[in-house]
Amino acid sequence: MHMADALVSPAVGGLFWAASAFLTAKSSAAAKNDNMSGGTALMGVLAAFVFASQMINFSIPGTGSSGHIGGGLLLAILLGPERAFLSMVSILTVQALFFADGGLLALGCNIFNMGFFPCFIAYPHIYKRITERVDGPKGIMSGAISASVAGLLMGAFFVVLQTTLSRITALPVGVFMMMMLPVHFAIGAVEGFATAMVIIYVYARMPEVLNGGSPDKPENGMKRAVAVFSVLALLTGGFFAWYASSSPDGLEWSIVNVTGTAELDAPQTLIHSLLSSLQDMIAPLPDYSIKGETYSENMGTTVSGIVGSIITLTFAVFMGMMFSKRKNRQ
Amino acid sequence: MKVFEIEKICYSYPDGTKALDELSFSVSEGDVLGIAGANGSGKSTLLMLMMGCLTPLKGRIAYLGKSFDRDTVRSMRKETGLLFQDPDDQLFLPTVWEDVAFGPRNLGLSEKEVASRVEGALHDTGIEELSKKAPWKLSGGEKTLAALAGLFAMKPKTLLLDEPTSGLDPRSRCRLISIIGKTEMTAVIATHDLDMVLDVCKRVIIMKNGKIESDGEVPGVLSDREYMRSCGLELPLSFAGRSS
Amino acid sequence: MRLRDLYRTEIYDERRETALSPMLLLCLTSAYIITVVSFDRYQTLRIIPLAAYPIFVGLFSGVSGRDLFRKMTAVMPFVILIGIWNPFFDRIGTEHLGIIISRGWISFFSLMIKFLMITASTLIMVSAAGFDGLCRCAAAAGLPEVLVTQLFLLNRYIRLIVEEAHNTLRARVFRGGKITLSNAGNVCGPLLMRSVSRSEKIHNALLCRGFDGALWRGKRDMNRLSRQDIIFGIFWTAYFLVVRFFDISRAIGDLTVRCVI
Repeated sequence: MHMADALVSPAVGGLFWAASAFLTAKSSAAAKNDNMSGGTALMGVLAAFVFASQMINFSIPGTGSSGHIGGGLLLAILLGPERAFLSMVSILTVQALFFADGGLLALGCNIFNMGFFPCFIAYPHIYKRITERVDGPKGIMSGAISASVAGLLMGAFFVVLQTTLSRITALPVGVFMMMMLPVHFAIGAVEGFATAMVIIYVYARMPEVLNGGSPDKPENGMKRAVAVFSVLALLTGGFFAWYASSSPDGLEWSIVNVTGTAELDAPQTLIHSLLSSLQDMIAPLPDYSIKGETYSENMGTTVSGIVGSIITLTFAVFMGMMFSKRKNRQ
Repeated sequence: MKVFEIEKICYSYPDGTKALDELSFSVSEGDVLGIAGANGSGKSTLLMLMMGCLTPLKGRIAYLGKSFDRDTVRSMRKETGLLFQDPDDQLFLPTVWEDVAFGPRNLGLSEKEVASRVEGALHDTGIEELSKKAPWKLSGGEKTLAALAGLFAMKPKTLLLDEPTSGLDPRSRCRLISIIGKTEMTAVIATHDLDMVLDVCKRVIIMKNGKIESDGEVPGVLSDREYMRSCGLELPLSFAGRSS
Repeated sequence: MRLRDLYRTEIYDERRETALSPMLLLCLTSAYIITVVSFDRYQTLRIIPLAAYPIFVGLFSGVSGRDLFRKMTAVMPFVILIGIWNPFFDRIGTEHLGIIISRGWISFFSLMIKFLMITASTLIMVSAAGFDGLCRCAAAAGLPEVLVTQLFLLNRYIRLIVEEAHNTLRARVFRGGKITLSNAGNVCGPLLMRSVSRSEKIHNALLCRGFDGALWRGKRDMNRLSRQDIIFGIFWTAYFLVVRFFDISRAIGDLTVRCVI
């Protein structure tokens, strides 16, 4: 579910960067002020544990596929939402930088999709509520699966939203959602099950470890921030879903592409025109969406382009090697 | 002058296992005290209590005459260094240099003073060439020396060492023993490397089941084979050939 | 494979002595990414001159092309999965290279070109600047202490715990055990408990050396740029802008073709 930079526009990437940066700042302040003794070391080591355990693929008998434990939810159970969120920020940063899983521009989106939803929504409002009502392993199992599925579905939904708003894919929204949501439902169920097995194991032997996930009282500032973002996410998601469902073929360009006509029908509904103006507003550069220009390139101009590209890149290789030799000599 | 005074301390693990049972002894300035005992005798737990990482259920620990409280523990930690059994628990930062500088920086020293202390500590432990290396790239012996350098850089008055030669090859072990032997600090060494105790320590405490079985001069305590066996230990290898 | 990737990033640790400022690389790479993604989704040839940046920095920093290729191919499937639908849903034809091709294919190729360039530039930046160097710069620029400490500790203990996980799995498999979903608890549970115990020891070790919340504090002057850095930064920023607003590949190509013909 990691979004690559190429799938995100600067505007969408920037927006979610801002949201994630704000949540990170708030979580850092909350983590600094809480009384969790040993929290710093625990955060670091547990993030490393989640990283390591996500490399362990558990085979699912009879299906030929495999799954691993869910990171955000497990961390939230062990550390509480704020510290878990910070751990997820660090894990996603390392994944983006070391393994190209995600990217710098898309990091904000990934933090939001895979950090905010499991830590601040799924854990406190689903997992905790279920485990408070149902004791023991049953509660843990049902809570973990429900929370994991919910967290992943919310994240996957926002992947669709972010990719669509970035206008990278021609995939109609409905089709995109049909691809993403069922798959992530299954992944969420598997991850939830695996996470529950680990928590049940620990619960039986070291129950005091699980108490770290219950901070005494979250700070008012943090509560407010989470509430605001939850409402915004709900509104954005709801708005987007309403828009997508009111246009069965998806967005404007899908209608055009399926019918094959170059002319686009003017937006018929209020939602179409609202979204259209929103897209125009957030388009970063004047020619981001070139209207009226044809993309036809004849042989001559294309050959020039190819020749020019080859020359530019050859020059870059030559300069790179030359400067590298000079650096090594120094 | 008594640096540490331990009076009738009791400690149990969270699962209820008794670790220490009314333990009492003291450490004077200049002592090089060995604490020997079989696995599970409570040596490491004792060092953690002395460092203020654990709180005894009963009894009193005092540093320079003052009973442990928050301020005493804080000031004690500025003058006492603990070498953990696993140096991986102690080496946090990306390079050896930075890790050794961690302690002096936390003391609030200027960067110039920090650099001088780091260079000195690396020199004393003989690992100057490792200063830019990442801790995870070091061998076991090198990690122990790097962790020790991190303590030396804080210029402690007392060193607490938990199984310092554990897992070291013979050469690294000799090197470490030589470094510890040359320091003028007060030292408490928890170990079952009895040959090291013979080489370095003047006084030894034998522990068994959380209690002190004996506390005396090194050659006398360690030379009784039957007694050592009753404490779950053997004679040091240097003595093993002499006694029959 | 991931463990090998982690270790492979360390081969660049010794090469960073005369390298560029991590902050400069971070800023330039960010600007690069924004420039690349700002191109319209039907642009292909116009973007290609931007590949000069990762090529140059990669060669300058001695980054292995094989490592890059391996990492990029590992994460390509999701991008292909999103982009491969474009030819099915964007079927308006256009002339390209003298042939009629659907816009969907053009946007797919554009997506892949962007993906390769951006991913390469990010990986090269990390190899050239070092993860720790980037964290230090970010700390000096104001990243919260808690997060900086978290990043340092994660980077420090990731190898240890990943190796422990590998050993746990190997030990289990060598004794005929299976790694299935139903024994996730028995596999990951002990590893988790050992990690928690380890974290307690690390916490104590931190406290014993006077830890007060910050593992490393950034100094603002560490982000000061040298003259070389400034020239480097100005040159590449200008290059990105020129490529963004002018079709330099076509201009150079036209010139070359005219000279040759």
